[in-house]
Amino acid sequence: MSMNSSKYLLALFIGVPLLFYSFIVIFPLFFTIYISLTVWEGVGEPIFVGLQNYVKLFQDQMFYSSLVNNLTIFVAEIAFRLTISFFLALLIYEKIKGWQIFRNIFFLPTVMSMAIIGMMWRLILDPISGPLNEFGRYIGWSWLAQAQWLYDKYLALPTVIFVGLWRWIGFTMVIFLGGLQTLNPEFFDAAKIDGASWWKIVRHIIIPLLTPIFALNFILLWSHSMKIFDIIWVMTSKGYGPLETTSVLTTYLFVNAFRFKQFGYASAIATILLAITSVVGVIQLRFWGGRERV
Amino acid sequence: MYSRRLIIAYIILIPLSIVVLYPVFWTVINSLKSEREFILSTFSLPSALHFENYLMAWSGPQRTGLSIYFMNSVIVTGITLIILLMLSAIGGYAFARFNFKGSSILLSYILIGLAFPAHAMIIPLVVIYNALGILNTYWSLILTFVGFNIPFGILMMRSFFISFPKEIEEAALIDGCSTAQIFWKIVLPLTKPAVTSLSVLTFLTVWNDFLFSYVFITDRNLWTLPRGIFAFIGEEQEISWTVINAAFIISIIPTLLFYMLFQRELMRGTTAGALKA
Repeated sequence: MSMNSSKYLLALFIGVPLLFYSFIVIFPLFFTIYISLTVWEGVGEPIFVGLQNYVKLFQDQMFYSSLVNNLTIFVAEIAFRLTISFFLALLIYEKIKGWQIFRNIFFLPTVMSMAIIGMMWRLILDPISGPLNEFGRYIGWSWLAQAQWLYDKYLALPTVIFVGLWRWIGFTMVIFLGGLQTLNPEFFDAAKIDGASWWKIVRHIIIPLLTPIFALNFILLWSHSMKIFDIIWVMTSKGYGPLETTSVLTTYLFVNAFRFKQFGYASAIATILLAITSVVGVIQLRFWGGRERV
Repeated sequence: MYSRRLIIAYIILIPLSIVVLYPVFWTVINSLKSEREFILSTFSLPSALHFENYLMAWSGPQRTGLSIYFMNSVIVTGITLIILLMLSAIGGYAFARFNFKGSSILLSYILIGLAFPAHAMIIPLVVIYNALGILNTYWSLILTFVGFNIPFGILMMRSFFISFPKEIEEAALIDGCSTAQIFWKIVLPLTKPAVTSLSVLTFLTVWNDFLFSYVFITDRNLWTLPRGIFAFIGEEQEISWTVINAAFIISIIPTLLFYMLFQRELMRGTTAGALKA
């Protein structure tokens, strides 16, 4: 084999994916930051305005509401998704009869499109024709019969969060299961012989051993909660995007960019989104590096 | 002692399974009813199976139907997978087998892409695709999905090649094969497990995408399934709900088939793929 042909091949093998990636990911990354420093409607020349968009953004009530909604989603995901899926993983890990069936059922929504799931639930939660309100009418609970799941300003966000949980609990559960399967069962057997209760085993053996998996899920939930778009848009947007009660960073970005044609302002939102997701993303990368070496 | 815990486990797992399955079940039964029956009660089972709802959703109640959206989804997903797999295989192989100057820096440069969400880059992507004249074509979707999945693809293929014994390639080298020949004839055919995992995970991301199709594609003849179905509920409200339910089921069926066929790869890949989600 000639050294030269191998060199050309290497350049080709690395170069093609590298160019592709640089053009689609890295170039737009810097482009976003640049646009955020301009006033631009997408046509003509962008006008450089420095940090003006950011100054405006930090005085924008709707931006804060959106960010707070992202954070609320994150807190709810930690409180419910993380705990519920962890305990489900523990139950399924017991290998009771039919455990595979339960695992497969819980994982099922994960393969479905989030947008389709959102639309499906929009019909299910419809106050007039939906089964939930119909059930309320049937048993005579007027609050259930009249609940405006997606149109009530206090109910809308919790409802969307619930549908998100419905989709993602199985996914997080499978990640926990993967972690549990790496543990040595002899640990628990020894502890059981010593008379340790189930909760003690979970609290003092399993949770400490699974710290990396908890951390990984924590990071995943963070970036998931910050990037969330599909479900909010298909379930709660009306005309000009979702109202203040369910607006999130991505939907607010979308409305500013593609409805109001304020590319500069929308790019400032995108840059903030980039900053808060990539900080955690870099930690996530170090994780991966650590795991790969094992 | 054990049996008491078993009962508690079932008391928790069975109702939760019903919560997960019921919405899907509800959609299925209401996709098979006549409109009248649907309005009377959404709980009851259909008295006769109205498969014409599926035909109606497929051929399209108005201008376009799922048959077009379905084809668009197949084309976009298929081309994305082919390009992504090729680029990931060659990139992963190069990073695993050649120790050249600056390789670790280049690898970090590619892997950093895992930290950046495509959502934040959507405005420049629209501007770039518009300038290239490919906005509102399949290529705007394909390029985006390939580009943002390259880091994960290279990472996955690289770890596969690292775990793959070098001896086979060395033997071929002694037999006088060139590097290119070794790659095409010996290495590539053996990558099936890694290629399968990568395909399964990418298939789901691309097939299920809504945002990019929503932003990049305005021509309804090019819409993918989730985008097209959104028009059924958002923009054309005169469509019967039974037909909409049928549309949901049609769009879900391929992913369910996929789930059944590749369940093991999917479960295994989820922990690995968690990285990119």
